Amino acid sequence: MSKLPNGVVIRKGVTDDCEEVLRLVKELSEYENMLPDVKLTLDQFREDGFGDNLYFQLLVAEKCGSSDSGTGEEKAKLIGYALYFKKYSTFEGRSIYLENLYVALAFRKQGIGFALFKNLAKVAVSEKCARIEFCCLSWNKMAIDFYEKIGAVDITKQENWHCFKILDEEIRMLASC
Amino acid sequence: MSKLADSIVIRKGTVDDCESTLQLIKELAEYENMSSQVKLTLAQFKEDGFGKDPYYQLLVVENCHPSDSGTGEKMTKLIGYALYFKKYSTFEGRSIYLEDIYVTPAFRKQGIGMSLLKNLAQLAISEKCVRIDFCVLSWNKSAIDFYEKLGAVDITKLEDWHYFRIFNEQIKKLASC
Repeated sequence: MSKLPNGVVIRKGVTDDCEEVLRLVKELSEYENMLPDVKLTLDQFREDGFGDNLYFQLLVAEKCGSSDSGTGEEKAKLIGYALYFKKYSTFEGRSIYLENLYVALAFRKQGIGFALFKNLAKVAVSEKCARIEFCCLSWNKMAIDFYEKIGAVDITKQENWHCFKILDEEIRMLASC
Repeated sequence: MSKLADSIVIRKGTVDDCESTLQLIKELAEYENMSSQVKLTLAQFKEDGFGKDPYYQLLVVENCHPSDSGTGEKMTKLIGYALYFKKYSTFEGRSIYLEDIYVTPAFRKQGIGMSLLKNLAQLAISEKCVRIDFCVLSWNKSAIDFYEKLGAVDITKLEDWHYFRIFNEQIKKLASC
């Protein structure tokens, strides 16, 4: 595995990362041609990741920037992230679901995506999780090649699983029927 | 929506329901032709649902019936369940993932599946969850018809999402490479 480039670290995300991460979330959605589907606000995102009732966890890839003139200080910038949470499989038990993994375009092919995955795998092992699961758009061949190289299996193709969603309007109709 | 029979109750699952629920999980896995994939033990299932760090929540369906002893005593038996947990969508925010929903064949077509989903929808609203996600095998036409009638959308067909999995062996390799 290639070493991370100089100045890039992978660490746990904190509340102060939320604004930057939400910007990267929107970049990813734009790439997926799904930007209008992003309804999340910054306040909600912060609350759900770092409030009393946690819905997700974050790993972030941070790059130290160039120094400000005269101060010698370096401004760090987030260039990638992995957003994940606990899941449960009635076949194998504890699992992790990777909702998003993204590296900004300018920083691709430098081992950062791989490093994010490796960190996630370490979290899975320490939490005794037997599976990591995620979704990928079927046209995203580059991403699929990457995932399959690290041992991921397309279980929509292999086992015929289809993903379904029920959105807010239909949930409300169902709840009150 | 048809009313539930008087003998049927839907309630939150407790640790004492784990053994019966695991039995129903195995029934569902057999129906999906996937029994050999069920590795979950009762001890782990109990710990993961009702221990210090819960991974899932349960709704169970209980049927009350007279005992065989002729004493007039009533017995209860679990005949269905829904296993779910919190999820997060970077599109909409707080969500629920429905891992399993199952009603034993002898009790189908009595509105029990619908009641389980209605209960789940009410939970979603109380937790401010705006989305419910789940997977279905593409050959399971009767299940798909049922879900689509309630407003669920097949986002594998509609939006080209494929479901991927990394299994335990590959996770360990990834973590230690």
